[in-house]
Amino acid sequence: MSRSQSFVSLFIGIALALLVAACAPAAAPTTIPAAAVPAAATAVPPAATAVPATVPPKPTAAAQPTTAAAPAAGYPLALKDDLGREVKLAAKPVRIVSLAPSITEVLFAVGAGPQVVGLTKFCTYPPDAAQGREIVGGFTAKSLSVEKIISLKPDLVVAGGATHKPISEALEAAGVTVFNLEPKDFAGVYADILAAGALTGNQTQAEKVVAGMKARIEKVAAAAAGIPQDQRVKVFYEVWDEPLMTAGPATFIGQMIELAGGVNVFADVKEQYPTVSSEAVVARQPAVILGPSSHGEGLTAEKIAARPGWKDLAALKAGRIVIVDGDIISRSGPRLADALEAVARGLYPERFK
Amino acid sequence: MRRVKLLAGLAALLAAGLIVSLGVGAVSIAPGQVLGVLWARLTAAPPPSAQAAIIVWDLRLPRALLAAAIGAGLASAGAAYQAVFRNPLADPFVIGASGGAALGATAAIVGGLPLVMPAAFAGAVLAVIAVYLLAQTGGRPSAINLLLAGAALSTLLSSAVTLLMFLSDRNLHEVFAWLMGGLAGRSWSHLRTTAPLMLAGVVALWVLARPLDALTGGEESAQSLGLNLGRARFAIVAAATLATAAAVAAGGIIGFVGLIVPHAGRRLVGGAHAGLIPVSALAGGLLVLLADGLARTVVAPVELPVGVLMALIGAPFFLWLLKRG
Repeated sequence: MSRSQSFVSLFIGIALALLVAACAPAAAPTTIPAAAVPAAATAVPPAATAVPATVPPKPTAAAQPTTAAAPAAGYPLALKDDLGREVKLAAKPVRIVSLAPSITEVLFAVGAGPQVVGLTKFCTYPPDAAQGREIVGGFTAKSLSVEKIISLKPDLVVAGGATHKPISEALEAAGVTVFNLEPKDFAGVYADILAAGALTGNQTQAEKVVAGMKARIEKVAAAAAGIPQDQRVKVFYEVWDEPLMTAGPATFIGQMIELAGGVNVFADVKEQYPTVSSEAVVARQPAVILGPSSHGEGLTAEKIAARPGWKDLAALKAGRIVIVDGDIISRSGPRLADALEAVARGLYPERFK
Repeated sequence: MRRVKLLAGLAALLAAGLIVSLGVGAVSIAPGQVLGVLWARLTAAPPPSAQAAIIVWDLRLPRALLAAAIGAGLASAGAAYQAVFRNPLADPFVIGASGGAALGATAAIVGGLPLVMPAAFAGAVLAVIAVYLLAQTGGRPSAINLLLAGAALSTLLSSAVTLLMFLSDRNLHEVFAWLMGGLAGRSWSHLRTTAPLMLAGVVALWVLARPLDALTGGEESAQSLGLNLGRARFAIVAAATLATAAAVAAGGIIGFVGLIVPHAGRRLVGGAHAGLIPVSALAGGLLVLLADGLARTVVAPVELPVGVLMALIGAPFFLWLLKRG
């Protein structure tokens, strides 16, 4: 090999090394969502129990005008996000990055899909959401790439509040506008969908989505309200088995159990996803055991019966172990209506068909 | 005579602690009813209440017995290591058992294998074997080499655990729960597979009381007493590892009991191991039993990790002992 040839190969080698280094940050975040809230670990294909989603929802007769009116359209606009910060937008955003699957679902439902340029690897709904869009990382803050997000030149990043704080701070320091959606209850979800509509210039569609959701949810709630107290089923929601984790009343699943006319056997806990005693479950005698599809493998009648003291539970004797699509039940978006209907059907198959 | 009285007293306390802990938890059951269930089960008579029978016999009794066995195993192993290394800071995990168990369990959990207990046991045993071989620089390993090799390997193993957890944060809560130590969901089958190993380790250490005494006096004086140093140390480490590995497999990493109980025991019966080993075993069993009872009770129906609670009770008690001098 001549001297010039070796120089050329050296040059190519360095160029390759630089290229690899430049690509590395984008390839690095390949983790799965935080374990602290396993119900949010959404890398699970929809289970057989999944409801065929209807987004946007059919306009029903009950499409009453929404009380929480969306803020007026027109830019520039200023809007408070779920962290209580006022966010200003000078013009209609056309390069939006979504940092969570639930946010992606909200954006697409209100019709802002074409404006979205980046999302996470767990954004699996609508099914073709990721097509032609860039993946900016996973669920946890550490798995998201600030560099990747900035390289997309977004005019709006929609983040999930506290979980994404480290990322939002870095983005804002770089001059990117960040809006947070972190609803705590159904009213919060409605407000967030309307806010997403207002931010992206899709008010009318957002109002339709909320009206449709409300109609379906109120229908279930009204039917459930008619269930006599003595016929209400006691429900144990199992997030995970080792350690044994459940969902408290403040979580969306806790609220859905209540709305569907069920009685959460752990309605007395303050925590969101506490580890509970096995004996407390046995003592509280649930009539139904409910779980997300992400834990479907651990929730078979055979495995539950093998746990000490569980084989005589009413839920097990009656074969009432209900698996719900882990995606729709954990994403605080428009499909919560589907989740609530699935929970209601699981608890009262006769009443909700 | 004093020793016999002390052992009898501790055994009585342990039995009383057992009855109390069978009654407390997310559901409280009166001691009378606890005894009724035990009597009914032992005599194959119908129990007074089906639900109380399930809770006391199927859920709490295996767990309470396991807690006592774990405490006994860890405290005796701690006493033995403190003698072998003539180091008051030694505990059952000093030569890598906890790091190995943690890596084994974490690998099994992350890999989705249903073999967490055997993996933890194997990890603990393999780590100690590795330390033993690494510490051997011509002939038998010296005590100081064992300690150093143990510290280095423990660091390596715990970094490997952290790396595994970082690379796959799926099931992280399961790994965390294991690392914090806990007895939730333990049944008769867990007791059957691990308790005999722990008790065998404890009994073996008790049998080795004389070599333990000799080693406490230093390696030279032990040799001058005609002790085959290498063989004695190997037997002690093997017995202590058996007890520790089985305890860690059964309950995850429960720290502190193996460090403080032997010190408290020495204040009660002195340093002779014929007394110290059984006293440590009984007191260690009592301590873990009480800690697990509290873990099930303080914020019921939520359950705390027993390892955390153990340190919360153990550390102040130990400091109080120190202060009293």
